[in-house]
Amino acid sequence: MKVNFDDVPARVHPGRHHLVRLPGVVAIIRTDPGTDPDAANDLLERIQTSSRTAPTAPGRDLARQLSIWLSRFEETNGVAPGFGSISASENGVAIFLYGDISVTERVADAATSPEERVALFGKDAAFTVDRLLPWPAGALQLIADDDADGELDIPEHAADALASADGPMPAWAGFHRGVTPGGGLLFGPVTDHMSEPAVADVPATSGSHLAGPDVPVPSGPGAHGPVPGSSATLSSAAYDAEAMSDGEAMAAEPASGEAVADGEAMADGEPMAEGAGAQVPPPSAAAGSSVPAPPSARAVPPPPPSGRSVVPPAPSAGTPVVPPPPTGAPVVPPPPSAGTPAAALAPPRLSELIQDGPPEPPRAPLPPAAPAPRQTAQQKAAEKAAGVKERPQDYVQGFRCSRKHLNDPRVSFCRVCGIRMDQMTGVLVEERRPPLGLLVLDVGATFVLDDNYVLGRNPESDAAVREGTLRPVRLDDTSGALSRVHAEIRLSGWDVVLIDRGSANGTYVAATDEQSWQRLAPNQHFVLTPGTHVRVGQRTFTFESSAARLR
Amino acid sequence: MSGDQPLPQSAAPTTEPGDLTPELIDTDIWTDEMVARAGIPVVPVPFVTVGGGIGSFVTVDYLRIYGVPAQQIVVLTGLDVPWQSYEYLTRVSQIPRNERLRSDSQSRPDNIWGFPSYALSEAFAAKSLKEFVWPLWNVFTEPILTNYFTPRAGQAFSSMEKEMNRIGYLQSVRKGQVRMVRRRAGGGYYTILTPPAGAAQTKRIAYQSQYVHIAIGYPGLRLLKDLQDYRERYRDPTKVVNAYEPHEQVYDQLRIRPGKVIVRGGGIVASRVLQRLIDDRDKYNLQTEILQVFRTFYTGPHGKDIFNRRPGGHGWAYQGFNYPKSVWGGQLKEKMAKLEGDARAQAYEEMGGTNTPFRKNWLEQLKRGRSQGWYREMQGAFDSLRPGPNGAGVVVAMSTQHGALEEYADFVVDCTGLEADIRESRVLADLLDHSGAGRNPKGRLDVNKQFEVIGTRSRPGRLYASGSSTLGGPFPGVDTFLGLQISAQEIADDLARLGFVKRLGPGRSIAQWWRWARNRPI
Repeated sequence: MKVNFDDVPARVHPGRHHLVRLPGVVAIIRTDPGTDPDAANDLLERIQTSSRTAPTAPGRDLARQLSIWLSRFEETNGVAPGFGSISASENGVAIFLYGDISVTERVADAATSPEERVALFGKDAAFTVDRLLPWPAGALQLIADDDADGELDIPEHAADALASADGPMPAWAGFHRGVTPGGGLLFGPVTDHMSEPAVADVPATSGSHLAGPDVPVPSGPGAHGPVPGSSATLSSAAYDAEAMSDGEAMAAEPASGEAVADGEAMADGEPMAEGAGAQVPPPSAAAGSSVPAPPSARAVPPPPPSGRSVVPPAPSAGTPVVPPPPTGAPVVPPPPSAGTPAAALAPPRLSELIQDGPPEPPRAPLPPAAPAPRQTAQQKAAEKAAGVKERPQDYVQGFRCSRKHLNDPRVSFCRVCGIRMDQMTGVLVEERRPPLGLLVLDVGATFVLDDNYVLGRNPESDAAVREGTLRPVRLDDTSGALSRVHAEIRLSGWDVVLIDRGSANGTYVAATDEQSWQRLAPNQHFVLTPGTHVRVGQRTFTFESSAARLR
Repeated sequence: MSGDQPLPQSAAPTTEPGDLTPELIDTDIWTDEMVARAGIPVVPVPFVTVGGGIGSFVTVDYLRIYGVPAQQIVVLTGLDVPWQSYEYLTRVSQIPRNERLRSDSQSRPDNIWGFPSYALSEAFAAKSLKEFVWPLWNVFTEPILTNYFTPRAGQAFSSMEKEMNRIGYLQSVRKGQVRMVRRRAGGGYYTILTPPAGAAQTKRIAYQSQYVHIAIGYPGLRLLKDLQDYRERYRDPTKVVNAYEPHEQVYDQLRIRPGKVIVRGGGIVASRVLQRLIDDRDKYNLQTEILQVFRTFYTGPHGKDIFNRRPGGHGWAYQGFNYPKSVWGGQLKEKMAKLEGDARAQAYEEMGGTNTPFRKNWLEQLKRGRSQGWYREMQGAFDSLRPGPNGAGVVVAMSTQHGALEEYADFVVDCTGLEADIRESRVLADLLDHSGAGRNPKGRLDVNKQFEVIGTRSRPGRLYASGSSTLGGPFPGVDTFLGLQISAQEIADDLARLGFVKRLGPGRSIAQWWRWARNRPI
């Protein structure tokens, strides 16, 4: 079963330690008197990093990070504060405990024997407890075992009551994200509609948090499931592929079997495409576990007790995937009426309130941001003095001539004053690049090469031109052989490079005294030498440079 | 420009092993221990020549023919082949390989005997009767019926290449940049070479030698201030160009649309640029308009007296003979050798000034341009340059005899090839500062008749120099093929007197010529 970790409710019990909840992780860090406050901060940072790097399954990484941190910390600083975490892993949860922290499973009634329940204690381990578990049926209680203080003030029965999905408190009132003081937290239980939808990029903090697990909200599988008549179009190829790979453990058989069964069940109600059964993605199967599922289905947790899942499919309702309304849940809205399945399942618009409330009044758009204030000459000078370069790519390394003009290391005479360059031993200095030559167009116009250019019929259509990183040279060509973005002239060090930008009819070059044109491969970098003729479409231009290269 | 201000020496406070130490930089005469302390490896060799251009090549050629083995000579250079710089400068100033040079052809750097001449060689290499007869007819009838004969640039280069391979010149070449030459306590010199990065274990290598020859040629061009200012201020390298740098784009653009060009200067390069402009104009039927600006404008023959006159006209001063014959002929040579100090400077002044060999082809082109109105010449000096309206073209502000004037042009081609001060070369500046070298009346390196740099002797070693950095010495025309050969011969003879090499008598000379003629190694 694939469960969206961040949709699982968590409830805080009072206490003085730190409770943490971040995408994919819940954790507790003890703050006993005398512990190093920096250690808690360090730990928080580790947890946050792991959560950021792999918010969907930080379990393994987190365990590794925490172990490393712990061994280092204990080597240098002595005993670390106790801490524990429950984090999402690929197929369940990863539990990491150190010190006086325990994780125990709580279920509302005694459906499972106490032996089968999870019970892990950090202080029982020589170093740490590090486990991977499948999703338990009940809720996990992650607490600091403050026996001495008697702070563990959750009575057994109260905890059990809390552990039921329909506890005394609405789930949306739980702990969703952040750091808070507390003595422990109750994590879970997992209900079916917390199953992760196959669309992977649903943000962890989507409306489902607010809505709580008990409310049939769009992030649940219902919204994405194969709602007859409408949702078939939703299931894109990517959706299918992802769902199939995700649901490997579930295997396609029960899913298709169920789907077929569903199809039969509503054969009279809604038209269902013949092939839909095969296309039903596994999430529907996950959702379908609320439908009386074959008990033999693997990986499906043991059917929870008490009318949680034993909801009969609404006869002829055509809404087979609506999460089951748990009995007795006070805040659960009634199941959507049979006649309006689509309406009930349509995702809310962003502006729409999920709970009732006054509609947001429309307001005028904000004024555009004020333009950045122009730099004064003084500020510019200060920046320059501090070594800030406006455009670092405009700087090149070269040799200075004896009169301090920057030159290509390969030239023999200074480009500005004509002095011989071999008078000075070369010390490379970096300075703003001087113009490297010019393009002489066939109509006589010239472009001094002090920047990168895009040549074409409509060079403004190039993204880099719109961003302002390349400058456009628009050429007119009636023959139609010139592409909109045809070629690029790029300054690279002291070289001028010609690049064909995948033009339809190609870019051709010919050396000074050559008659034959040579076609450039697209995106190939061709270093122009002075006198090289270039042809784009029916237009030609010549590259010239005054660089005094002896060869 | 820089006057006598020393260039800042890069004496890094922390020196790595094998680099120059402050001690070395500050000491004029180095001991072997000081060099060893700095960790610079020392390579002993009898003769070092610095530069590696045609000057070095000609000197090595003489010494090899005189009998010095290639292992006793080291050429320190950054060039691949001796004519690399020369070929570059002639090519960009519109004399590619198939064009004829504008200097005299009475000597050839690949042949110390000067026989056979370029004209004879060209005739004998001819593939048709006309090609055979033309060079010979030319040299028989010049300068009355025809202009002086000059070789094609390509012929000079390819014959030098042949000679280079014959004498095994490349065996002696060591690549790198020469940083300085200093005298050695106990005689001889240390020449510090910076090899290309990564080519050697240490940053510097010291060549310890008895004799050093410096032929580093022009320290460089000196583009005029107004031109430099325009380039740096407007970051526009395209409209104002110097004739000694690649400026093919000017001809490219003129071929595409008509334009006006201002040519500044009246030397050989100006004549060549004009010829290219007008050749293109005729060939492509262009509408190019040309304005030539002379700083000194000659309206006719000029000179101090009837025996020292030079033809001129339309602004140009023509050479009586081709350079260097025009400054090197019998009496003049004798007279110059005797002059010293101000008198020599005065003599240089009299024969100096920009001048140009007389050639019928381009002078006829100019005449045609004058009559058709697309070529004008005027006298004036540039004050400033600025971009024209809307960034098109250039506006040149000039001062003339008739007051200030502004001229618009699409391009300005500057043909004034001023040479930089010798101090702009680090090696020469170091010689002036630390090795006792001085300046001659023309401001260049002061050499005696044997081309030894006066004041730098480190007994028993000697330091020689030749080429354009010694212009202004007792021999004029040192910056020509012939001048380089004369100086190489003087140096070789001086070394023979010192016993470094045996004199080349008539018998050995003839034998060596035969080897040359049959292209046999020495």
